[in-house]
Amino acid sequence: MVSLEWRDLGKAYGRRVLFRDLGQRVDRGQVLVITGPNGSGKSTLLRVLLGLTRPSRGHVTYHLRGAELAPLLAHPYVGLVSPDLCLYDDLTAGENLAFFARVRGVPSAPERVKDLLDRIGLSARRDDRLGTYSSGMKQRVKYACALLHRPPFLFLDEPTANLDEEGIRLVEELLAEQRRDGLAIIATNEQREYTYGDTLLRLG
Amino acid sequence: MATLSSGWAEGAVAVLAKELRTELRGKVALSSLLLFSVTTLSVVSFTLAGVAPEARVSASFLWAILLFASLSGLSRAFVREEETGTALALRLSSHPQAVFLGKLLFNMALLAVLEVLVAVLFTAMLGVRVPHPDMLVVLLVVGNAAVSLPTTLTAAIVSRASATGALFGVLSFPLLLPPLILLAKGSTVALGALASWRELIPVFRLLISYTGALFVVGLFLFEYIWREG
Repeated sequence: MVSLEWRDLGKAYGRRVLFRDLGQRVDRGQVLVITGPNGSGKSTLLRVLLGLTRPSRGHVTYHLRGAELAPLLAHPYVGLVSPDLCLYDDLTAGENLAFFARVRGVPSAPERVKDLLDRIGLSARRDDRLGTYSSGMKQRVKYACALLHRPPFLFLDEPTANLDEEGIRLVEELLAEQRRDGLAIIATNEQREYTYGDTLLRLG
Repeated sequence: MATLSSGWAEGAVAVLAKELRTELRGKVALSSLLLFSVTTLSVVSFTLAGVAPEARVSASFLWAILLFASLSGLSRAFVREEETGTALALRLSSHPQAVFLGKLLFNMALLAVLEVLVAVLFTAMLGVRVPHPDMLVVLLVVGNAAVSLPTTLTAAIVSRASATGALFGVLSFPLLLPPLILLAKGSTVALGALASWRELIPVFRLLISYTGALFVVGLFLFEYIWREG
């Protein structure tokens, strides 16, 4: 079983309440889209779900193969693509992916890295430093990095930012594949990306 | 699907290798360490004008130069990750202990390079005689861990603060003072003509105990520092 559930979730900074009383369950095969105006707490909600920011109240539970996991313990099973997440500009795309595969203990890492670089269409540039990449190419490498360990829980913050039409099609394909073995949570303001989800959660 | 528990020792080696690779390409910390140490040694050398200082003064110089040079470079270990936005990827993908050990090993490697350079220049430029080089080498090896450990831990604590420079100095001072006093005392013995290993044993005992205790505390404390957001 793969599912993610949160109850009575709230986050406030001092007197400023970002969101409160949120409850949701997302099961395997589903995609949840979180939307809302700027500053409504979409990215913060993602951070809370990932255990990177403490909620003011409520709790988040990951269900995976009969086990219940707190967000911090679920890190081996999550992938994240976000504008806040950067990779190493001084390393090449291949080195970046090899490094993250190694720290995550990904089996058959060289083959997996090669497959993903083929998939995102950057095999020919694998030995170029990330610092020389365009923002769209960096976004593609972020996808490869997030999917290295085949995470059942995929989090996407502004998933098509900086991507061209081909890149957007790639994201749509990856999301369709993610539905097969896991679930995805998307934070976005792009109308087009609302269609990726089965459920829409509006904040603010 | 892989898990983080599949070996944080492997993760630590990966973090160390990544740090070495990025440092060799950018040479940011290395040049900062080398510049500081060479500049300081030159100033001291001109001030002494060829008169070799006595053992106590030499020992103080040696560790003061090593301390300030290392503070200028070792504090970057975590700050760079936060500044470039890579900390989030590392936080999600690595076991905290793997990150701590990898960064610590990298800082130890940087300090080892610095120690070799400063020790050679120290004797050459200041005309300091080292009657017992074996003792000095052991002190530098033990001192490497005793200085790198508190520096790495403090660097992790301050990396998410805004005034990292000032905070780093304030927090690292009380942690670095005990080992530095011991290292300066030990070096005074090692640079003296009538030194014996027996005199150094209490110094080593205290240094190793302090470093061991700090290592264990650091290993557990780091998880909270690293994950707290």
